[in-house]
Amino acid sequence: LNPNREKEAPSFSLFRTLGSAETSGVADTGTNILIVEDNPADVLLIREALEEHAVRANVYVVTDGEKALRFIDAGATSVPCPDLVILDLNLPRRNGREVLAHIRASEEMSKVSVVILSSSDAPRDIEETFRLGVTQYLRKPSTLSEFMQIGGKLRELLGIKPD
Amino acid sequence: MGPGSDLRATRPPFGAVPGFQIRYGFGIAIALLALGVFLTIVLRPFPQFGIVSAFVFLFGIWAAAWWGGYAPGLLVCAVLFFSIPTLRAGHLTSPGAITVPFVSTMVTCVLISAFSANRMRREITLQATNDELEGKVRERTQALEEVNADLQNRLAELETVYSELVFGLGFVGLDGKYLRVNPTLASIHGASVEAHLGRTVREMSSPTIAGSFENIYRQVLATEQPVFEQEVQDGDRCWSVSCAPVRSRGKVIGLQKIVRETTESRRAGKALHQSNERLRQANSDLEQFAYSASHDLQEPLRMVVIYSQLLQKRYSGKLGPEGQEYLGYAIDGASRMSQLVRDLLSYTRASSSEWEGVATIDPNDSIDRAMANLKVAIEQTGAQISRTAMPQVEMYPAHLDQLFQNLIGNAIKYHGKEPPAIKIGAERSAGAWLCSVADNGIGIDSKYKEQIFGVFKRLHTNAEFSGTGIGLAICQRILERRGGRLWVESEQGKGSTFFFTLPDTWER
Repeated sequence: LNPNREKEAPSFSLFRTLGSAETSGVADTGTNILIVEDNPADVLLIREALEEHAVRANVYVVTDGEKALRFIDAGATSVPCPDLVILDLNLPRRNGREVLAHIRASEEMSKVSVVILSSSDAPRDIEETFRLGVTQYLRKPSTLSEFMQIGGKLRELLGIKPD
Repeated sequence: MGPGSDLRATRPPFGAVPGFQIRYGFGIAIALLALGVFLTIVLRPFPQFGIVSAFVFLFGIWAAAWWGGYAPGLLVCAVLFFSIPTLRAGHLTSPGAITVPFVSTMVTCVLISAFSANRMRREITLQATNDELEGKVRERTQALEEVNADLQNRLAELETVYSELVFGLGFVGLDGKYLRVNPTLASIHGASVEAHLGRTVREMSSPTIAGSFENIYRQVLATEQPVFEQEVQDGDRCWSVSCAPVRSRGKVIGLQKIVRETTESRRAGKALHQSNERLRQANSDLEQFAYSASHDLQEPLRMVVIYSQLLQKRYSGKLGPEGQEYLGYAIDGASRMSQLVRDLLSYTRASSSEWEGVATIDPNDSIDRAMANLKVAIEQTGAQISRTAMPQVEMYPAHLDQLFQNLIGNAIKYHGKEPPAIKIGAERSAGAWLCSVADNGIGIDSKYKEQIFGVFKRLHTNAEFSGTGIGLAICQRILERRGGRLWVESEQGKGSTFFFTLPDTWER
């Protein structure tokens, strides 16, 4: 057991935002999404995509691999266990593969859906993350419309039926 | 008549006498008879000397028979016996008294002739045999001289080769002593040819390499098998030593060795290897650089494109028509650059060997995947794609997909008025599969046949046909990597056929 859990918990809630839940005016929808992404522009686009497909969720954002590991270790003690993790591969300090491996090895989050959203489409990256148990591998699209379509895929993963 | 070839060739018949001898015989007989007549007449007053002329006559008869044979002998004999009584006048006048010496002289004549003829026959035969033998000896001598001259020439040639050979050549006895060395080997050892003879290999070689040489000799003697191109290093210099047993009647009697200096070629080989290694490293660095650069360039561009599009979507109303136009150009430019960078990335990947493992793949699967990716274009243009039986090939699967996607994609994109009709085929050609993708499209002017394979080379504006001009460059790079070749045969307005080869053997 990690005695530092409680102390460190606030550090990764710095970025805590309400995402689409906020825009729709609902404080807590019960759906939690963790975004591990160091580029705020991409975080914003993910939010836009979720909004586009009316996904209402509490969105937690961590901006580097180290913080992501601590979030995972903290488990449900500080924040609710996410229903979906959106993970970048190229992260500061610890990369996405390490984070993914940590998630799959953790007690509480091992069954959580993890989507890799990376600008890499190298088969090596794809193969490795699938071996580590990724749920879906998405390449960061280079047009707005394609990016917005990601919202639909995430919605499907969360099991939310189309309105 | 002389000792002609007929005499040599055939044995003369018994009693036959050559004409010249008959003439001599007659001559001598007549001369002796003349002498007898002369003596008879001269000695008539001295009857006590009458016997002398009788002996002269007899000798004349025998000489005629000996030298001339039967005929002159008998003739002379007859003439004398009938003329002597006349000459002697009163001596041996009665027929009874003359008969006995006459007959006995005749018999003697015949016998002498016979002996003479036989002797001559033997002489002639002997002479013929002698001539024949002499001829043969001459022939043999001539042949021997020729062979000898030939041998001398060959020996001289061998000697030249031996002494001029750029390789050191030596023969070593079983006792390890040099039997013969050529000047090159002698100069390698830094001693004269003569100084080597009878000296051991250890004595003549540099101490640092004598051991290596001895090991090689021992190995050859033990196995009785040749050893080829053993590298021996002596300080800065390198030698390649080949050694083989020398056999006589199946028994090893010594060793032959060939020494070649390889210092220069080894140095060159090493330098080549080093520069190859540097080149490989540089190439790999460049590939890595291009990959990173295009990947890192891609990211900010993606932001520019998407956020410009977001701006267009959210705020186009506030920009006004002119602002919207400007933003449109900005988005077009950024999108295009984004595409270029992506293409550059694919291009650098097309030659990367560590991309994926090579596998034996069915090109039909690649064609199917390419067609699935091109589904929209195929439906829009009504393209008909046919193919012959395709062979299994060894390749990077992603590369073959890319190859077919680019070639089929081009065949559809650059179609003419008719809907595209594309034929994909494969046939055997000189240790390779020759694949082809033929279309009925707009074709290519022959002067652009090479240019189209360049990176970002295009023959049309974006308004005519969209694209960045990387497809064929990627295809070419993939095929270069695969050891193959890509080319086009085309006529403007009459369609194009792209050919590529996939050799059976290639360097992975």
